[in-house]
Amino acid sequence: MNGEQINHSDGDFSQDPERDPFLGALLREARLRERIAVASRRHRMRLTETSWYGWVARYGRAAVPIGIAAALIAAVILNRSVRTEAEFAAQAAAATLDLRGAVAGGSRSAVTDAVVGPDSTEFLIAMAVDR
Amino acid sequence: MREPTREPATDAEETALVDRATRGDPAAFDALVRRHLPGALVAAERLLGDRADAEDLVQDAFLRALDRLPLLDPNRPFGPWFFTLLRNLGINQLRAKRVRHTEPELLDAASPDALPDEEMERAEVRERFDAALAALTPRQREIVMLFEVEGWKGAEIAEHLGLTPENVRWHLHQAKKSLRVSLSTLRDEGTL
Repeated sequence: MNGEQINHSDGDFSQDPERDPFLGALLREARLRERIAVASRRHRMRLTETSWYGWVARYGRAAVPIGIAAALIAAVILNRSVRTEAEFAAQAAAATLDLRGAVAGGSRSAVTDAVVGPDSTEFLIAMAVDR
Repeated sequence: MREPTREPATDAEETALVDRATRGDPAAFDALVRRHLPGALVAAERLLGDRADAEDLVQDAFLRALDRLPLLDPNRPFGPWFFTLLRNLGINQLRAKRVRHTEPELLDAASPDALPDEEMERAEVRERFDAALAALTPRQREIVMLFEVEGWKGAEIAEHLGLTPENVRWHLHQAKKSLRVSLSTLRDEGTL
């Protein structure tokens, strides 16, 4: 805004007017109300953020040991399943050798044993225990 | 015949405000601030003897109150609870500063339960004043604040804002004219 907008009929603007303590006090109050409103909103936001950080801080500590434990369990399970597959491969290889041996010159019962297993409950028990 | 009691209505309204503020409604908290700020300022200034310190104390007390609202017994009025909080904070502040003082007098003049109707009216009038202030242009608002609150001279404001001193005084005049309506109500009621 420029000086030309001044309407001099409104009064004399060549000197500062008297200060108004009543108005000053009200304005100060209004300013403080605004300050408190802004501060209270920030405060609420901080509280919300704090609860988020608090959650992380609380569970963050537990997350490390839980993660390590989960990794260890996963490693054990994985290792076990790998070993089982390896064992299975070894068993299959052994069975193939038995069958070859039986066919090459073994008796009829030896061939049968090689294909369907020996005529014994021990075989079934051993299979069940393995599983 | 006794006039239908306004006090219980006021209390009910305040209880509702406290309830809403506790549940995170900023407007309700602002209304509580508007209602209790004038008394709180008087009390804080009386306690600390300094306007700026009093403003800081009042702000601190309201923020503490915001934190502790969930702890407030719904059957207890907000005012006395808040003023006790304010007083304790003020005393702690004085102790921390190691200022020698006599035991502060009770906050009788500022006690909100003494004159709830007045508190209510003051809050309403201040709400109108805030609205009038918000209706000023940003420049008028800044000028009136710098002049009346900060105590700057017209020439200093002019230099700060790149205006002529006459222009500043004219803006000041316009701002005061705009505020006059709400101010006249306040002056008539003598509620400052």
